[in-house]
Amino acid sequence: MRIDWFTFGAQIVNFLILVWLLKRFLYGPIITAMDQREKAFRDREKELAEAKLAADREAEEYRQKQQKMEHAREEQIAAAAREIDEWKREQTQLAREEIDQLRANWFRGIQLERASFIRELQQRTAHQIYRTTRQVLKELCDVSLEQQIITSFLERLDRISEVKRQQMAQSIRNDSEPILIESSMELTKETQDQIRSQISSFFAEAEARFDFQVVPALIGGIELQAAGHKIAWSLRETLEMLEEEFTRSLENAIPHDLQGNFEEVGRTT
Amino acid sequence: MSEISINPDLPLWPEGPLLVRLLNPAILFTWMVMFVLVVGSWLVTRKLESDTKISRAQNLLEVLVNMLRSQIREVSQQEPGSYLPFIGTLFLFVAMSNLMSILPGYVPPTGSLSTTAALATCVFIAVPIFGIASQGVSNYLQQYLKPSVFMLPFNIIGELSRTLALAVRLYGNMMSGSVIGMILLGFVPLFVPIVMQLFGLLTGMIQAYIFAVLAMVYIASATQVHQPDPPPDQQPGES
Repeated sequence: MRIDWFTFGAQIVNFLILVWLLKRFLYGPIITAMDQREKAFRDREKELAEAKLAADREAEEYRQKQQKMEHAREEQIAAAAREIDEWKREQTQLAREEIDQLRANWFRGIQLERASFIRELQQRTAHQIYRTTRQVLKELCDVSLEQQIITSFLERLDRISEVKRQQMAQSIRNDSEPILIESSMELTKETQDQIRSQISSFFAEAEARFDFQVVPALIGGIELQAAGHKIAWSLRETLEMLEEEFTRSLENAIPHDLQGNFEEVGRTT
Repeated sequence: MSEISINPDLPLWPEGPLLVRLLNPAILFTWMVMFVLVVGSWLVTRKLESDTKISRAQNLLEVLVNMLRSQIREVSQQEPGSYLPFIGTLFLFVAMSNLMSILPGYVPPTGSLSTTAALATCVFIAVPIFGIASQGVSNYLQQYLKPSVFMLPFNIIGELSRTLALAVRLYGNMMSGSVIGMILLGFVPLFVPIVMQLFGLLTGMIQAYIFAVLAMVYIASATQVHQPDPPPDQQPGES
């Protein structure tokens, strides 16, 4: 157990050289490499953190955008629903008005058709009554209907009050127009003379002029028109009663729920 | 032959020229260990990777360096930067010297009292160098006067004795392993020397660790800055 001083010194030198060499070839490069890696990790972590931050920020932005879009979509849906409701209401109103209009037109048409039908019926009925009455009178009493009508007309003339008669006579005298006698049938010469003489004597107007005209629409009637006065006899009254009765029967035949419409249309027209 | 094996300080060729006569196994195998360490390090560190994919050798060296740094940090409670080359080289040299004893014909340099004394002397010199570099000359020297000036001789004796202990501990452990191995080889030539060799490897690694850690403890005790004494009028605990 001795110390060799040369070995002692040499080993100190060897050790110091080894320290330098290892510092140069081992510790320095290894620590540098580890530091670089650690720095790379830190940089990467920092980048990741920044990327995560950016991603979070972006995600938040997208979330907000999505929420805005959701709101906008809900608002649009609500607006669309409102518009649809409004449109539906308008269309319903329009349809209702159109239906009302169509119904009114329809009822008006029906009303017109009914009036036309009644008028035509009245005409036909009048003709038929006239013809039937004429035939019955002829066969049973051997009496002319025309003659009876004229007789009735002249009797009605006679029943005019004195005051009225004077007024009419005065008017006829002042009027330059001839006395218009309208009848549904052609009057014979004798009949015309009879009427002329009777009216002239009735109004005490020997110079009175007469104008005889045939008007088929009068249907079994005769009318006197002079200076704004009118005296007539015809089947019209009878026919009007008949029409009234017929209308009542017709209305009874129409259902109750339609009668209001008829009445309403009748009011509007 | 057995004399050469257990005393690595004896010259290999006593009859040779002067320079050759000075060569002994301790120096020769020290160069060998240095060569292995330096060339091995150079081979690995010449193509280092800073990426995550690294070679196994680089990984081994990084683990080794990291372990050394963490041990230094743990023992000294300081950053290992300036201590790593010295302490790390101590550990690596002693460990490699002992580890290579598995090679046939190899005599560990640490079995030489001259080598261990040289290493202990390096520690003995490094302690005041690091201490003065850390605290300054006066602060460092004042440590020898604490707790009182009368302790100066004991502190100096303590410094010397622990250096001697460092050298002798390592030398004794390594030399004893070699001696026991040689003796057992004479008695039981098969199997038992292998077991003793394995024990020798374990002992060698432990001794390398102990040597490095003790060196670090000595340096750390010299470099730690002591807190200044509180003023006499301020009692401890007062703020």
